[in-house]
Amino acid sequence: MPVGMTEDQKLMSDSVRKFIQENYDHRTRIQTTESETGFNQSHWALFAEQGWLSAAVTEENGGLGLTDCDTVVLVEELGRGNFSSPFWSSAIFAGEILSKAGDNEIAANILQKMLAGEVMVSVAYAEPNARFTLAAVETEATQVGGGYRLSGEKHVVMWAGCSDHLIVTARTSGKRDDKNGITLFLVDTHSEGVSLTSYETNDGQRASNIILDGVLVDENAVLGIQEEGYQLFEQACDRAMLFLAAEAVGCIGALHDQTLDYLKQREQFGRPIAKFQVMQHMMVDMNTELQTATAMVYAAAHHRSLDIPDTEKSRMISAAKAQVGWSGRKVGEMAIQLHGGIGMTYELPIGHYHKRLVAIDRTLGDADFHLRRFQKLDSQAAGI
Amino acid sequence: MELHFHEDLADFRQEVRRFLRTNLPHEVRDRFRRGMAINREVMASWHDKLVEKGWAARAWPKEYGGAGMSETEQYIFHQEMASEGAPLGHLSWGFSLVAPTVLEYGTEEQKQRFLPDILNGRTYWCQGFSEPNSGSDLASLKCRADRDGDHYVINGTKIWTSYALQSDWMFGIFRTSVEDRPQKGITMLFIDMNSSGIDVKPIKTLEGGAEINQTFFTDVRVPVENRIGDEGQGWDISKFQLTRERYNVAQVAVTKHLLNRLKRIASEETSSYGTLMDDPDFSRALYKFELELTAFEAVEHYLIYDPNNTDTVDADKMTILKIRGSELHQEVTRLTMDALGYMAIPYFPAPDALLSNEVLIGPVHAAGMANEYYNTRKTTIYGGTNEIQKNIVAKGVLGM
Repeated sequence: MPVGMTEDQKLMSDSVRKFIQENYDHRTRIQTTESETGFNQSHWALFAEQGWLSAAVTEENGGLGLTDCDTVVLVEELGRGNFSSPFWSSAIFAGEILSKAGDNEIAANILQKMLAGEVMVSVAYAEPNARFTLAAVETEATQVGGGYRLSGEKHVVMWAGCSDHLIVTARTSGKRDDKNGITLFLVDTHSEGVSLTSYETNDGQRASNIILDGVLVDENAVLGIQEEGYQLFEQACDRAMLFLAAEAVGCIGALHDQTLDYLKQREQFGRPIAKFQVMQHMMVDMNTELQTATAMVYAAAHHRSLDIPDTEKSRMISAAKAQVGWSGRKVGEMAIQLHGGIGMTYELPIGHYHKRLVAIDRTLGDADFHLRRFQKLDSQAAGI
Repeated sequence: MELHFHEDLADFRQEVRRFLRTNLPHEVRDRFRRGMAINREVMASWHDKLVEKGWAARAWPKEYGGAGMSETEQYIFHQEMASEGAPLGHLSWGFSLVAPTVLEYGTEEQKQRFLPDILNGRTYWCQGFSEPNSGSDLASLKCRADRDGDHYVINGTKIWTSYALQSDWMFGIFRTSVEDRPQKGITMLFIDMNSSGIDVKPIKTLEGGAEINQTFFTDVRVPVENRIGDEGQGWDISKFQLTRERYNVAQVAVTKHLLNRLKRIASEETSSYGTLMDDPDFSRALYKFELELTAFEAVEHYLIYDPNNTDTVDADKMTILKIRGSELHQEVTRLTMDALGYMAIPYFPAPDALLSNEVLIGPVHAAGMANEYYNTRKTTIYGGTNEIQKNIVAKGVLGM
């Protein structure tokens, strides 16, 4: 955190750190990520109990009433522990969409259950030919009777395998890349016509490719306004990305601290290798990246609370996302290099942080994508 | 981009290329292109063809079964091998490191004993150098070789031994004396990996692979006849081996092959511009890389270029090949990861798994690419970190 935390932030940060220290050391992480589900259900229950699942949700929706900076502090600690779970995909990303979906009793119900740790929700938006363009939706939603029939393909849907519900972006009109004509739907994962191919990810998480083959939903399945789902979705992506970038800051911080410790302990040529100038300069570079990434994320969080145009807020978030992408990769690679041979091992946490940072960079648009968005938003031109 | 050097040897290059295109088994080429392991039997069948042609041991003198090729001919040969998809694979160490060592430092008896099985490709070698506390400071190594009659008795451990489990023999350096400077108490031994007292434990790497190991020695008896050179000469011999590493010219050709693969992938990946090749930003990054690789190939050519066949090598000057070559190799795997978009996230089982009836998680071209990116982090570390290599250049070349 670039400036002093508030008392509350310190308390929250400490309790998350304590949770990680007592329940999620690296050995435990390996066991957990290699288990069948990839996460520990009892951790989930504890998160619900602590209210952490409600971190990103407004008070009137049952959340903790945290500011964006507060939530960044919490998520940063989870990143520092490389905590691998549906927390971001369900509590943050899906939670954001559900809580902003307007008057939908079913959605509100599911949100409450999700905050209580009873169900999980995944957002199915990315399609195989879309790369990172949010509006490149080919999944179709055709009106049928009083409801809709959904058909299409989504890939890399995080933690869909343990989710009871899916939020799906589908096209009710227009052609691919049109921002108009996109509608958000709430779909029961076990509906007829939904099939999942689930797999592990490189960073120890779980994801699925999903085929929707004539999946029937009724009109209550629409989240927000029909045909106008894009704006709600894009705003939710912005907010979710901010917290994803916050997680990356935690990972970068852990890589920095662990590498510094190692350099001070490891002796070659009769002294700690931290005494060699080349090591010192590389470590200083890592430190600079850490400070830059951290400051950019907290600045983006702070700017969200200001009375400035939305495009500027979005621009700050894209800047933060791009920055953690660059810094994350650089720091991940340097940490391995500075550890030498041991940096290549599975047993050391270092490689696992690096893999998480690559996955974060690749989610909701990589650094290049966000650099482009940063560029486009400069002239206040619309959208991505 | 193909550079045209050694036009006087154009006929030779064509001959090599024709031979490879006619004789390289499709399975070998295919598996090499896809970054997959090649099993011993398949390698053996390919290797036999090289032996038949007399091209298996290109650098060796003819009296030992070698082709007696000049430096330049070897360079051209290796370029063609890599660009045609013909890897040396695990056998390369026998040829490029062990055999030259035996030829230079071995007794006649050792040459007769070790060279034939290297030549026929039946022996796999691994290297026992690094130890847990002796990485960059290799001379501080502690694994002991104590003389006991007509044997040395080895106690201690070696680490980062690539392919130790698959290897028949190890060439390693061990401590025979603590009396003088550390370098002076080091001796090179060849060890039969079937010896009793050897325990090999695989070390899992960050992408899930198991090519490296830790080897434990408990009272392992090694006949004195397996000592190469004199006691205390091991350090000098290991430095001699470093000069042979300049024959890692295949690095450039391998990186070129990876670049061509990347171009194919980028033509298949879609983006809002059409394909990723149509994306001006990605295209620029890709071609900038190709330019840098072309420039590096030129560097390599001029460093190795030996028009008067003096056969002298400035090993320190060659170091830049390792430094830049490893960085470029990493860069192409990085760009390939970038090209995959979301498909960099899933864990693909090794490309082998795609040959069974598993459901494809994504495009075939994505399989194994992430693993390769993570595994390639080692190139700037193994063989001496790039930081150490830069010290060598600063001291040995620039006199700083």
